[in-house]
Amino acid sequence: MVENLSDLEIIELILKGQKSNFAVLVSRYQQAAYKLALGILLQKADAEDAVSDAFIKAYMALPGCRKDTNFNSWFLKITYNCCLDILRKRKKFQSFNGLEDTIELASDEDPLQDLVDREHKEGLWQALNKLNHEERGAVILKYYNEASYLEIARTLNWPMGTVASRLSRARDKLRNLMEGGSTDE
Amino acid sequence: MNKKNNCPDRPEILAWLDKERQDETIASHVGNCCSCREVVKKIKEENRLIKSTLESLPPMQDLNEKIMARVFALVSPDGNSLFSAFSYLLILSSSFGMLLLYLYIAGFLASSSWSVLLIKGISFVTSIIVNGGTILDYALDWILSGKTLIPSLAITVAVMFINILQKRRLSND
Repeated sequence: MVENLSDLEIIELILKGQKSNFAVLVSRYQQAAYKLALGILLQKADAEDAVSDAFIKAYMALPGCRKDTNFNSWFLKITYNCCLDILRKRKKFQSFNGLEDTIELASDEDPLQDLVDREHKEGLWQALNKLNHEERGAVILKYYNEASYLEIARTLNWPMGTVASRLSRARDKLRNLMEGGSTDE
Repeated sequence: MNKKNNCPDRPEILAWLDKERQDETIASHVGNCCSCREVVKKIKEENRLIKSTLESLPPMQDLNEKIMARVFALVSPDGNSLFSAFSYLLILSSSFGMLLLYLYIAGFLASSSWSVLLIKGISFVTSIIVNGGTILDYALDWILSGKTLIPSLAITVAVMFINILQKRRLSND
């Protein structure tokens, strides 16, 4: 079963001409990439476009993907760059139709816990919207994609030594915003 | 470290909790300091909230079919060297052909009388604009996507062919 193979083994098969195996990588990473793209772009349609473009770019770049490369972090960097392309287009054509301030969050199994959490989650999402795209990217990479500081530094092109302080600053801003303050505090 | 009370700074505690710092002094300090324990507790609670919020975001519709349709329309990732070489040769040879054609026309113009020269001159400039633009267009298309080379090339060859026929007719007139 191709589904049980490692990313590297699948890439080798694709490079030997078995294109259809790329679908396994798409199934494996599309949702993680989407969460990152949605967190940065704050719009579902743009996030889907970014993920779609990222997979095409990754496919074209597969021959250059080194054997020691972690496909997940390599692909998340491509996704992040596709998000930056969309942000640049928005700036150029001023085509952004507004943030998705309210997003439908999935319910927890426990209704009581769900009631308590829902308000906090919506507050956090709105606070996250108020960070800049790099800070949002760092928070999502760390706390959703569980990336290391080194992977965050590589993805966002940040100097390695600044990741801890920048991430901490983003967390401080989130906390202030959730407590009703502003990002300047 | 915060020099006043020996407590680690928040970024240090965060990096320690994120398992990016293997610092025994932070671990032992947090064990003995009430205010740092409170900070750790708060950060852990925030971590849980951030993770569960991001996990609660609605999943995207499955893009597998859409992406694979685009993948199958692409040149294979091994570069398909034969196709690339053929495409490259086509561009080079058609550009070279165009250059020869323009040299021939320029030579013809130089040896003609002024009235024919005017008509030929207009035709020459027009053909440069049309063919030059088309060649540039398909070269750019090829470089950027690799998808539209053949149709663009067909158009260019057709335009070249029509031009040659027109010029022959003009010179016969």
